[in-house]
Amino acid sequence: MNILRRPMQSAAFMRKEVVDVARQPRLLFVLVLGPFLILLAFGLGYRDEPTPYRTMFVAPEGSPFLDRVEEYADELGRFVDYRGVDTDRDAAVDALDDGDVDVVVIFPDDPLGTVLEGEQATITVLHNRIDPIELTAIDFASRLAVDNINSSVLAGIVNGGQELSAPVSDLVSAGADAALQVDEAVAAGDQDTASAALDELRARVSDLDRALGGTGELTRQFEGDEGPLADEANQVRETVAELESTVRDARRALDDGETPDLSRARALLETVGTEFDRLTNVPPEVLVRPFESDVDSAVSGSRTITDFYAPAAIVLLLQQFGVAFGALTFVRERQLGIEDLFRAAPLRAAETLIGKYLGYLLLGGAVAAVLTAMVVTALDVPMTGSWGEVAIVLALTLFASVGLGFVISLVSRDDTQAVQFTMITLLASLFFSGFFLSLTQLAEPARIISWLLPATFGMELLRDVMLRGQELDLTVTIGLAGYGVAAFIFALLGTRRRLAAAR
Amino acid sequence: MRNGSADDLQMVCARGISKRFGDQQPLRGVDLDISRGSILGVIGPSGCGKTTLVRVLTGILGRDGGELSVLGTDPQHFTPRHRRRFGYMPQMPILFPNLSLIANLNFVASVYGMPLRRRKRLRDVLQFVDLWDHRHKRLCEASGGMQRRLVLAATLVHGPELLFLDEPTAGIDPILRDRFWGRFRDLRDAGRTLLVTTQYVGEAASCDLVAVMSEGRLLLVDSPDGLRRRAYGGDLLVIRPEAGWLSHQQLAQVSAMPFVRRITRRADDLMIVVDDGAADTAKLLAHFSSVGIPLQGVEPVVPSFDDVFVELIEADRARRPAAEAA
Repeated sequence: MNILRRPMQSAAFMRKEVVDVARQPRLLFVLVLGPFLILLAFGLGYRDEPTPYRTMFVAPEGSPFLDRVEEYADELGRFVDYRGVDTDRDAAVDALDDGDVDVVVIFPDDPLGTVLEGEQATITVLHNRIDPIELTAIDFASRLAVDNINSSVLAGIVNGGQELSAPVSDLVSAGADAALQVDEAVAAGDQDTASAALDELRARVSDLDRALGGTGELTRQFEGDEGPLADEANQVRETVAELESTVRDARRALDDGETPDLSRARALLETVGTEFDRLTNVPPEVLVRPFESDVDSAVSGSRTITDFYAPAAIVLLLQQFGVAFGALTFVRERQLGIEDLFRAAPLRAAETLIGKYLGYLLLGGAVAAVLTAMVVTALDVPMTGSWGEVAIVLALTLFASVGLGFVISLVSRDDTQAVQFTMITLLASLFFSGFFLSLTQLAEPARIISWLLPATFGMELLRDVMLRGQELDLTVTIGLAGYGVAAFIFALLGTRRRLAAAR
Repeated sequence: MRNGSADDLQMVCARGISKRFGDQQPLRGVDLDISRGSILGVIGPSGCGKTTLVRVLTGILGRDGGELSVLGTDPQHFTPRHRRRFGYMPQMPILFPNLSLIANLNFVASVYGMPLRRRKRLRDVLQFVDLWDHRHKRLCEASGGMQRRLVLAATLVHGPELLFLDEPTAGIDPILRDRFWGRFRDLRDAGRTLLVTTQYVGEAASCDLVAVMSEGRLLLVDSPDGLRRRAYGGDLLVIRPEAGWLSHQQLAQVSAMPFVRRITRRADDLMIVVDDGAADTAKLLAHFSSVGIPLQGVEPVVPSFDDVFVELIEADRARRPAAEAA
């Protein structure tokens, strides 16, 4: 009988806590269905695309931008909802003030003059947003837009340059014509014409060599001195060198009064033309923006916004469940007047505390199991890791959270204060636990607050297990368990002090 | 202070216990003895220190001075084994509102480490306080009287030999109060010892001994009858002369009689305090007959405990300045 007395006392507290909550069906409904419905509504209501900003452009009379802004706006369709272009800056600012547009983009009065003076011309972006996340989005979209405009201008310049310089095919063709003239002049015994045609051939080969130098620079930017493109450039360079040598031999033969053989030169010219075209016929848009991004996750499967927030929401709910129930338990007993009954009874702190822990772990475990199952089955949130590890994370999160709640309860004077502490814990969790913002965005001292919250440990572990399919991070797991044990010890000391005779 | 077995008659023995909370001193040198199988009522006005006394006796509060033995042990050194031997009914506990009456009782039984086969005991206790038929009712749905009875049941469930009941009848109707006192007497008759605090002075009549407290002091401890006698200094008699009044000379003659303690002239009669009501009535009748004063009658008076209490408190207040000055 004596052996059973202590477990029986703990069981009494456990049963009492479970029955106390189970007798409140509305509370259970809110605990389980509430978070699920919130996640469902969030998943259904969240727009995965950025909202385009209603944008008005302003450019001075006669500006080349006037005709091109719509083209720019089209290119930025994800961010910009084109609302027209105006030459009146004040009218555009008034439209912004009146809320008719979200953003006004003002092009500079004399961009060419500014650039020719060696300075960058500024495109001004005005907005009326105060949300820091929106500010970041506007800043990002503006940089992207300016980058697009810069690229567009640069592509135009490159294109112009390409049009000005002779195309490689023209050089090859001119070279072949010169070679033919040499052959015809030699056949006709016209030494002067043959010599002039041979000079023309040498000049075209030199042009090819210069063009080859530019191409070599381009390949070095991409591959350095080695790589398939560099190999190809080297091969062309060798062909041109051989061509130059063949033409020099032809000159010597002609100067010596012999008949030069240009069949090899013609064959080489054809080879150069083929190889060179492949290297230099790059569209200017590609040349000025040679790279584009294709973002893909190394984690298998796709993740929606609901997928990302679901594990965090489960952890946050469990933390608040543990903290709120734990925080109210002792103050409620004190307010009901039961505490005196316990102090006079043959009770020890450990039995009281263990019983309460077991009660809340049982209740919280049931809530977590139902919620996780609903989230995985009904919301189709991926469960790529082990269910056993998920159970470990949830149990440890609950253990630590209930402990934190007990500590709050023991230091609170009344239920109002306990509720305030609980709300502060929730607020801190929203900002510091990694629920909304990644911990990497927090400065080092602020992360101390993060690691004072059980939710931080739980979210990190549960996201890794559920979404990445990783095994439990041992350091974080031990940290969470240690947190729980420390909270248990604090709570035990506090309970012992509370049950002891007041002096 | 002895620290032996409590199997003897003395369940509580307090000498000069005192307690202070900052500037307040709710207990000032209280001496108290409670014998096994008795009901000690502690009466006194609100704030006189009754609850503090009970909390010190149960070990919930420590004390600042004096010696104390409850069940043979200093309460500050109570072990769980000692705590199982007494029951404590705090002033305003309501247990757990969402649990049924029997679930609440079952919880307390577990806290006291009662055996798992306890259903019969729970039924007996709930029947004792007339709650068996309401056992499945949730506490928050029970009336105030039911809640008090449940707390009494919770105090009794583990069968304690000593009961500390702090104002168990506060705020309940007179019929239920009477039933409570009936139960207390039943418990006393079953060998239990009870310390009951109350603000209802009339309840003192149901106690074996009554302790009167005022401003942290225990003024006296006596039986209900003894309390009356000590309040007035003797027994009270009412004498009604046929003339309706007595002259100063006639009053002086009565006052001079050796067994007469005090005479109070009232509208149509005289209230006389004598040493012994039964014996002295005959002597008074003989005196009035000898001096030729016809009487309508001489009757003993049983003053209410309210009057007794007021008399005692006022006498103490009148006496104290002189004592403090001395």
